[in-house]
Amino acid sequence: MSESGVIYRARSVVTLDHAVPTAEAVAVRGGTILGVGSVDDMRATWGPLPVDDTFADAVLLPGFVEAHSHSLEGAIWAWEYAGYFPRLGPDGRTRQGCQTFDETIDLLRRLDAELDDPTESLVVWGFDPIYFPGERLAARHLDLVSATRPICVIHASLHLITVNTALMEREGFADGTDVEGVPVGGDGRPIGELQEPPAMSLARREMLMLWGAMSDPASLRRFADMARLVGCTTVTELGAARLHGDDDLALWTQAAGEDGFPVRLVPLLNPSRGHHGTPDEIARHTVAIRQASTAKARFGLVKMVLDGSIQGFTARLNPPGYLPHPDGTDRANGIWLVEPEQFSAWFDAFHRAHVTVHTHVNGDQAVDLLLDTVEAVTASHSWLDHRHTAQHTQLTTAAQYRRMARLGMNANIFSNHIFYWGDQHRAITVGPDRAARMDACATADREGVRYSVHSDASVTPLGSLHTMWCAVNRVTASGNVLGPEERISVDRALRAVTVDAAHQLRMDHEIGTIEVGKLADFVALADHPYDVDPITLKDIEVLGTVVGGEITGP
Amino acid sequence: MLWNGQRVPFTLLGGYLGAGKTTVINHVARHADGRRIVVLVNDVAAVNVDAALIADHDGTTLSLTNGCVCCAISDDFAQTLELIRAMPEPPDHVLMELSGVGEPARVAPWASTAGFRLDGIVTVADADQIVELATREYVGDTIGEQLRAADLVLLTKTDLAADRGAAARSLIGGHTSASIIEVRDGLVAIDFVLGIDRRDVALPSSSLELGGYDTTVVDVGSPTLAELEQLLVELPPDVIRAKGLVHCSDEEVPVEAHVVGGRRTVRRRPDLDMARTTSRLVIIRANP
Repeated sequence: MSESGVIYRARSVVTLDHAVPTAEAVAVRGGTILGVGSVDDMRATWGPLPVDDTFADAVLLPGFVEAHSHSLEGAIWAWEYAGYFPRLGPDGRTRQGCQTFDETIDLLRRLDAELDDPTESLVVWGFDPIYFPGERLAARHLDLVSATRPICVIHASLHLITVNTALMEREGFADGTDVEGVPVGGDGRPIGELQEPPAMSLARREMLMLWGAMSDPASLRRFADMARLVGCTTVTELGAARLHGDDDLALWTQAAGEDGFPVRLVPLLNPSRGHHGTPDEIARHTVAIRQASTAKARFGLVKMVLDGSIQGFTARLNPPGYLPHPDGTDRANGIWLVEPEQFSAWFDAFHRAHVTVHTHVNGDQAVDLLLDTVEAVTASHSWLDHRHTAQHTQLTTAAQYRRMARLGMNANIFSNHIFYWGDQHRAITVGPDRAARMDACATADREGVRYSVHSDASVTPLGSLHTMWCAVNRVTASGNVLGPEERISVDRALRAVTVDAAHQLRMDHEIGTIEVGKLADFVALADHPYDVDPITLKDIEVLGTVVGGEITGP
Repeated sequence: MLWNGQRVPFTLLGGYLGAGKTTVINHVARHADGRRIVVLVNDVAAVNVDAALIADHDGTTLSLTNGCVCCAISDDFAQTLELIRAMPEPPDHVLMELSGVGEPARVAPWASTAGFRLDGIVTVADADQIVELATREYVGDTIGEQLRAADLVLLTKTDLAADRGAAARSLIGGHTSASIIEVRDGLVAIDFVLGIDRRDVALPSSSLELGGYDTTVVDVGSPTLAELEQLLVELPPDVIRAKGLVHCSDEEVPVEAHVVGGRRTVRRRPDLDMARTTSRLVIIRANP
């Protein structure tokens, strides 16, 4: 892109700016938007700018903003994918997936042959046992690939791994262990499945590799490449990373500072991730690190976590709580991740320092605690534009959305859950009535709460079109519509993944719409989202992105 | 194989904010008596020991001259435990402080992972607060879970709340049959906090919960093994628990003695060093 500027002509420019909803073209200069309108008008105003027709047949929209994702989405691609469904990789190549055990074994054999060092572990991920109901993946299958090389298959849930005998022998538990979550076969020996993180930690070397990948700059690059391929121009790391010392910050600024880095990164600070000091000290630190922000790495927001997940039965629910166990016994409520007093002390310090706080609240009881806390901090210190955001809000009720609206809060709704776990929520976790009003976008609209929708990648795959599709159609994996009254329009969903996502990241003055003066971040789609059948929304092809005025990608 | 297969006893210390966990931890760190204890805490700055006892302090790790190390826990247990596994020599014990809302039963599986074995779950309860906490809106059921999982409950601040002690005991007894030991100023014999050894020692039952307790430390000198066994048999009937290491005159290695209710056991501990242990018994007597 030349310093003098360029005009991108498109089939249509969809701005999401109510004043100028559509245009023929958009002019950019120095990374920002110079004009929106017809080529002739802009040339008349700004001189003979060159016209770039790369997107002449495409629909140009504001780049998608994923307001709740994790860089693990990039870290995990250090290893190959072995899931059931086809999946796009950061290299742009689609893996076809493994639909049978034989295909899984074939994939592992191919990967085994590619490794030179015979002691190097072979790790794959994405395996989902739900699609192999007849047989359970075990060490005896993996032993067919290698009797000497340690093999570790990470399941899609990330709560389970299957390892081979060579790995168990290396760690000394092939004959048995008293660690919880290690099922044994008829011979009393572990079958190779390691359930939940304590048992998974028995695969010490492989788990260390996984955590190591989290702080590898190459993971951030893969994360950015994944984002580019699905049309995101800004993605978040919602608080799984540490942002304490200069080295922590440099990981982000250096990766994002590479030439042509295709996305803006917004990592949030989580005070429970090794940030020691008083709440005021941590709040001051959060404000101070804003100074380290660059064009493509933005610091200064906070993420906290109050409860667990609904499908893991660890979210905090109000009565009547979870459905009973299959045997009829009651299920305990979920867990708190932080004491209400500590949460309140941190929240109050951030609020007084004018730091926007995003809080993970899956269950409705966790939402109550968040609302009580925000009510208290806003009563003691006036900051009208705080934009404190409730993240996930899966079981949030209409009454809670009304309180949220009065308190000036935002929500970020986990719409992807409807597709990936909607059937399970209806049958196992909360039942059909509460499942029908889960992830209630339409209720949030009715009650006046501004919201985004998200993937929580890598919990579900990154992809704003797919997340929009979930919120618009509310179709579950089994093909049923879950809670049709909570469906929203394509236009509403599009705003949720652009300008409203930008708003809760305090970036809506810079990104989220195509307006003069904003950063030139666009996504080019093959079809206009308003024109396609909404049930095909997720299938619209992403043709490319523009970040800071430059076309991204290879 | 990690530490030649040796597994370090691992104790979980639970209890709500303000219950007195840090006071207990400070006491353990000061009175480690030669044991190299790794103490995992939420806030290293809260660990309060004499300056003379501090060998090194880098913000997240506090090394003591007595061989103990206090480390900050990140919210990722797996990574925290790998830091311990990276030590060339296994420590003698790991004591992990849970957060105020930590549920010991959910964390317990970590204490049996590579290199560790679960020694016991100790929950600290503040006599002045516990009854109110257990009915509090958001955390009441969490408090109940912390008590239910306990092998031993340390009841603190009974001096401040003499009249509330009975109500606190009654509430705790409704959740668990674990022993309740009153502690003042965190002064609990650390042999009880560390070394519950839930593998082979059943703790006293709920019938022993009524009334107070006296804890005394007894210097038993250097009896022969036979004399030690006789001494244990002759302990008064109100001794509900006794434990300690004894340097017997006819043994090369320390001998561990246990009294739990009516059961007495002694066993040789070739894994421990005479030079790094003190010969003594800690005795808890019912004090109705």
